[in-house]
Amino acid sequence: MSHPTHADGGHDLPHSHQKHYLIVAAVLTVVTAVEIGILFLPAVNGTWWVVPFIGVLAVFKFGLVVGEFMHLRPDHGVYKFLFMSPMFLALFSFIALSALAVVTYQPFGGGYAITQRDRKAGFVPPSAGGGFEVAWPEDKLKAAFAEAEKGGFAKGKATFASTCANCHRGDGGGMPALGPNMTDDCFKHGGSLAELYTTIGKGVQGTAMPAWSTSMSPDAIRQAAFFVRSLKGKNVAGGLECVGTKVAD
Amino acid sequence: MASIADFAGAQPPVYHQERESKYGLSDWLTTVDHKKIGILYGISGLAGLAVGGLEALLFRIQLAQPDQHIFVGDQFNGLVTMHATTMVFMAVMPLIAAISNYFVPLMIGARDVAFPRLNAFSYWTFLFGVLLMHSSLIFAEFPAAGWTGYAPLTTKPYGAGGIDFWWAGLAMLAISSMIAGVNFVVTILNMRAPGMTLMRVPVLAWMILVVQFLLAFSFPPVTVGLILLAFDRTFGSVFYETSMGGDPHLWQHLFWLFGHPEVYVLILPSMGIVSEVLPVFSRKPLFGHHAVIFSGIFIGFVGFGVWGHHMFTSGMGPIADAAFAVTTAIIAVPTGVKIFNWLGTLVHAKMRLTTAMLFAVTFIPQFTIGGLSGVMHASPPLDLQQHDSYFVVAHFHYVLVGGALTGLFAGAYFYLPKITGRLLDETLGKIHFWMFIIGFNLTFFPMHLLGNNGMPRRIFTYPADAGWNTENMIGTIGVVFQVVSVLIFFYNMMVSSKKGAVAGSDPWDANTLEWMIPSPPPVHNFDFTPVVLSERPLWDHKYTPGFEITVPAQREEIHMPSYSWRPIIVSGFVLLVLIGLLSHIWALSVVGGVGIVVGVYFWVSEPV
Amino acid sequence: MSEAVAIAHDGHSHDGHGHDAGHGHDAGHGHHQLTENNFLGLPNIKLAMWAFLGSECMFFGSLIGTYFFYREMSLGGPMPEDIFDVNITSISTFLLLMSSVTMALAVDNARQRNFGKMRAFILATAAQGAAFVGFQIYEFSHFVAHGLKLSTSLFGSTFYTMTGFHGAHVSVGVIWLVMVALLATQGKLNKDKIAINVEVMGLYWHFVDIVWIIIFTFVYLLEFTR
Repeated sequence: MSHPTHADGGHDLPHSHQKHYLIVAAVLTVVTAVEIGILFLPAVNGTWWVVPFIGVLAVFKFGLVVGEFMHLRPDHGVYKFLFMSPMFLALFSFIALSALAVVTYQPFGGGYAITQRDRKAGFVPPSAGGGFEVAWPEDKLKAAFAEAEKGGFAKGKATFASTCANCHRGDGGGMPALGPNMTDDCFKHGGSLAELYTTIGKGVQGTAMPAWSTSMSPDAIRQAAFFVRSLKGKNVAGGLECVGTKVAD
Repeated sequence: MASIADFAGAQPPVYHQERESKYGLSDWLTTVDHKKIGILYGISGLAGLAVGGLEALLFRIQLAQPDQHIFVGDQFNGLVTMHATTMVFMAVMPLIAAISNYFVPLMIGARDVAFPRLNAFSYWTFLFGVLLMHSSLIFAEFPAAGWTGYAPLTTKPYGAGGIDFWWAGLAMLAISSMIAGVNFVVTILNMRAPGMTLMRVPVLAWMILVVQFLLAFSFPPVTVGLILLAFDRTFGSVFYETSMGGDPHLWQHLFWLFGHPEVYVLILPSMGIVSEVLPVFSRKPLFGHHAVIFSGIFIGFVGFGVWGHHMFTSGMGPIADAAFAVTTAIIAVPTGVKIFNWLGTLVHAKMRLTTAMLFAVTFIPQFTIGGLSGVMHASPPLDLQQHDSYFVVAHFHYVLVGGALTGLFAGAYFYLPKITGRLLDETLGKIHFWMFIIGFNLTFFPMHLLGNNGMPRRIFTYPADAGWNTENMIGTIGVVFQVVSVLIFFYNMMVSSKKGAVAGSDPWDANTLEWMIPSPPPVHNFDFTPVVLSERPLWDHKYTPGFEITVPAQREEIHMPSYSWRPIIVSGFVLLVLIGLLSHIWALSVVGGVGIVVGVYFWVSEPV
Repeated sequence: MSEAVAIAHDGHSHDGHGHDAGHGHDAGHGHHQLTENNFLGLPNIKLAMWAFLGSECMFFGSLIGTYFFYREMSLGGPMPEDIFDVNITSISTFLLLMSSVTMALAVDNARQRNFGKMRAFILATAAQGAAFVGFQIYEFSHFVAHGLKLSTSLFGSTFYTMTGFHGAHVSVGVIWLVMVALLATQGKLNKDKIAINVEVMGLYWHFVDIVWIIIFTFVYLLEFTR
């Protein structure tokens, strides 16, 4: 379309943009319909590109309203600067805040808080209930492990293989002078999820166990703790002798 | 050689005004004149400086000797909190606002700001916010959570009632600053005199433009942080409640996302003042004029990306720490550029060492010391050692007192004659200068050593055998020097404004447009709108043939805005909303909200 | 905010390039035109609105950022996927989107000086905005009935605060629209200033709409992806 300059209150009346606005409205409607409709297609919803795709659609709508309805696209550069520079600053701070939420330190001790994210990650059954649980009953844990095992423990197992296995052996059987056996019934520093979480996060002074909270997110630590706890009682062959307190079933 | 006496022949313009001016007190309450609002900001800022200085004196007396028990625990914390809050928001910021209000329109050749009534609204909202915060002394106790107001110190279980006054007062200041920011951005961009391209805008006006962008765009995050805090305290939301999964770091992020640009809000105007004062008294153009402007812009943008360096000890993780360390190191570069610009201006200069010049020259080394200790904090391992120690206290006082306040003093001696029409006394000025500089360095230089010797900030006393006695005693003596010197400055201002030597239009043989009009300027500022032909329009008018500012033959027709009661009334309703929120008398808030809507209706339908 | 209009120059094209430096002198001597610097040739009030919207970007950026900071970190209580109703929200989203169209048409008619049609479109915009707020009130009460309060969880706190402030902005917009429609009916608006005033009001309204575009996609729809 053409971009006639229009005087503010001058004698020549500017061109009408009505038709243009109606076309933009139709496009906006279609895009919104696609955005919502796509979520009802089981074949599509669940593929990796759904989230980026609706994100792109939202940005497209954003641009359309700003560029056409707010008339910024053909308008003076000063307006663009006044709006776009803080918009990008806001986008930047928004991304930073979201990213920092993942890496921000969470205080250790006091218990094991199950967040909604834990549930979605699949290692806590949806029925487990929320809140600030210090110790879980064993039957609840067993059910949770069974459920998580179906998904292969996802992240927790991978973390164990890449990080813990160096000292605790690939199957968790332990290595002399490095890391104790994780598959017996004994835990040196407590066998509850909360205690395991704290041990992994803070490390143990005077031993080879480092504080992983400096390089692992709280999320990853939780999942590793959860996986480690599920190893209890597996008693793999050639595991080290029991050290520490036996944890009852 | 042309002289500014030429302008005396210009005919005063024809006025259009809806309502005649008022006189007396109601004139000050209803004024929309940027010059009067500037004076109001100035008086408020000086009052804030006195209050903040008194608070500093009190806690320095407590710290003068070990094991004293004059102000203990929360009393001490309250003094420290209010000292910082007062100095930042109620002394330095209003003094900057005073200079912006009074001089920006004069510098760019305008008759007022873009939105005169909004300007008045900004001032009254600011003043009510200040009064609201300080009324905590009467109705509750002083807020004692530090000026940074870290959660959970400010949440309900730990922060007493004073915190409610703190957030409500700060919220009003946020509204005021945001609106003022938008107002001045538009003023500087759109109300420049003909010919004043962006590169011909005076450096001080440029730095103030950057500052107004920072105000407009950095206050919203802390406004959000304050809203979350207010909701936590008032309506029981759980933003900062750890037992509900909340994370107090959120406050730190939101606060410093504002807080770091705020640091540049405080220092950039002083850099601008120094960039104006040095060339005038060196009788040279500013060395690398464009570099000063562009480095200011660069500082403004990157200032939004460095907030994490205040949080290295909060455990953000190595990636975030590294990113913020890099941005922090980068932002030191444009600051260094400016320092070389000022030094370059002084090279081979025939300096006139007036008091204004002395302050401006002293700004450079003092700010450099503060800047260098600041760059050290860009390194996370070093920062972990220095965090919350007196080393940090020394660092930011070298920037904010040795830098910002020293620059403002330079500005006071330079610009006050334009406001009062009379010069300040130079002898008293030099006594002020020497006492202030000696006192300042006595107080804050030993704090570097204190910090390195392990003295933490915000402790109300310390044991005699800790090895910190001498430095603390020296520091307190230095504060007494500073207090006396500022009292001399106040006395000088009061006496000189009545009995000082008459300044005339251009006492300093200066460069920029504000010096071509009488001191004090008439209500309409300029008899005719000057056409700007160079970076130093008045200097070139006087000394460069072909660059004279021509006086038009015809009288100009101008419209001056009339006085208005609307701004102060709407601002009062905003205050009412906040009083209702913090006293839990919801009816007050509802009345205030309705009052704002009705007030705005009458505001927009009032002819101006 | 209308004062800028009183002193802003009329008769400039939106294109400020090539605007000559001597303008303040040339334009100042007619009897109906007053001298006031207008370097860019742009109306002050529109510049101010764009700058204000920039500031609002930071405001909503921080609010939405807070929501994401705490997303999925709630310890208990109803979760988004338990209580969000995509049908209802889609209807209110569509209403707000269409209100942007009527707003754009109102601005267009104001420029054409069709003040009757302009008023009708403004009132239509206000009605849709009011309906949106109505949907939001319904949604909030529905959520509260399902046990999600401001104090229930991080989700409750962040959700109500973010969408509540958006709703407050919509409400302010509705009041503004009605106010302008009233003033236009009473003939209290200077006919030369109506176009710019309505345009600036439109900018605010569209901005409120784009904030909702972001919230709708990244807060509501995101919960329905798998």
